[in-house]
Amino acid sequence: MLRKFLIPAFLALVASPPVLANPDVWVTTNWHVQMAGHSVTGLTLDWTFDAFASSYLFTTFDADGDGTVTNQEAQAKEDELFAPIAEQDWYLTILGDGAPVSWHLQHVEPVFEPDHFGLKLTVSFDGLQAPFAASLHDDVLFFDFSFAGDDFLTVEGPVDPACRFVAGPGEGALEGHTSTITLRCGDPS
Amino acid sequence: MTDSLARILCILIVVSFTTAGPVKAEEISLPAVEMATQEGGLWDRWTDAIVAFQRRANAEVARHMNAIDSGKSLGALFLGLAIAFVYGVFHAFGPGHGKFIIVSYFLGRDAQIGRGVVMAIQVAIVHVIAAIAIVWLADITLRAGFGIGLAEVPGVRAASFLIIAAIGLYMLYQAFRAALGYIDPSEVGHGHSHAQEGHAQDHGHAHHEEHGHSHAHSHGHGHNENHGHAHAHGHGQASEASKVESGLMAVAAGIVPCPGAVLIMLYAVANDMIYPGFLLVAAMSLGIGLTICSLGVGAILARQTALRLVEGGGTGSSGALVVRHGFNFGGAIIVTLIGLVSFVAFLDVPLG
Repeated sequence: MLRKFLIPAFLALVASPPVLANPDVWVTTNWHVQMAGHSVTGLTLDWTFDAFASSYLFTTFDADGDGTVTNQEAQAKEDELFAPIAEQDWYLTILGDGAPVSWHLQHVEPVFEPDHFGLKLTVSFDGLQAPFAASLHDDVLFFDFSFAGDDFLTVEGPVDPACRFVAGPGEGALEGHTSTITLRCGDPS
Repeated sequence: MTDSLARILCILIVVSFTTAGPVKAEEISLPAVEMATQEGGLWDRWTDAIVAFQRRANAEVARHMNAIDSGKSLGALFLGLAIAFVYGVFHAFGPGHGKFIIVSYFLGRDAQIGRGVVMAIQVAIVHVIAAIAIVWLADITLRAGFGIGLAEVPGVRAASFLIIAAIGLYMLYQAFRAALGYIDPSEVGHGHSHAQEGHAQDHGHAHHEEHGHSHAHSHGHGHNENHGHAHAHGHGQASEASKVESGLMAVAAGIVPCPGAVLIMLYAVANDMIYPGFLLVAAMSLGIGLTICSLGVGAILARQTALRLVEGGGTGSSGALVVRHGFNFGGAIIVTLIGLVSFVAFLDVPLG
């Protein structure tokens, strides 16, 4: 009886893709899109870390353990802590017409609260029209990015009435990315 | 009165005209966002479900730790332990946690199911100890930087990879010895030459019928009674060697703790909840152990089944011998490669 269940399960797991998701840090995100002349020109991404990672990060910044993070304490640790994330281009991929485009990091701001550690990331790029796509994704799945509720997206500026934002799993070059937003125009599909 | 009314109407008209003009760039518009539906296959949905469950479980464990802290102790603790256990079960489906090593190890040698269970428990225990040790060495951890660096305690990781590689090489050495006829292929992993002592023929067959595996059963089951002291002593030594080997493997596979478990432990320390934190990490590690155990036992059964199928498939003992050698070499090579490649990657030495 044991064999009947275990062997197929074992074979299924062994034959499965080598990477299965097991993130250790969970990040919920709010997205703010800047538009100009119906083109997307920038993004502000608010990361909120899970309680465990928040606690760890806050403790790390709060060097004297007094429950608050001073500017000095923040500056002392910022480079050290954010360097690994920055090396991964902040896990942000932006596509214009299906191809990756370069973006400029304008601002990074940590948000310090004991149970709520956040990161506000503002990037800009040359105006991109639909099809535009952006994703937050960690290839090694140490971080998991998910949208923060139903109203995670705000847009600043005019959006062509024929266009709409679609959130969810990525396609094409963003295949496998779960936190993706896409600006689609015209085609109702 | 009429003048006042007229003025108010004029103001309202002017205001309405100015606000109803073209959309300005600085205005905030909130278009409806469509949520794309998941169009992937069954596997993608399964993976997404596992991730979604873990996300929820992670938040629930935190919530229950806070509940414990705020005085709702017992119920919150038990529920938290249950969630942490299931969290561990699903968390271990992902990369890491020594699963691939354990599977390769058990594919590469004859072993009893009990050995797979024991090894999984050992991995879980080592996981807990390692997580706690890492937190006790918080200075090192905190200095390691955020991200994957949490588990990057220098030396521990390197030692773990080297132990795995060494065990792989030892398995390879045994596989070669078996291939060259110095030991019986079924002896690989047991470290003794029982067949040459003339006992395998006496007992192997009966065990084979009973357990589908001739050698595995011949350890640890009443040999003392049947064969007297001298023989039992020989088995005891062999079994001890095998236990040490698999124990070392369990240590190597489990000594690099799960960063998730370390984060929970750090949270517990930061919030003066060391004992609940310890229990939650233990529950999570047991869950991880259960998944590893399933895979280890699955590997043992897969090897046994494959050998039995070949033996019963008309190719006879020669076919079974080839398959057994194949498993022995395959498992040994994979374990060695995992250890060596991981060590090279740790040193950041280019492979090409």
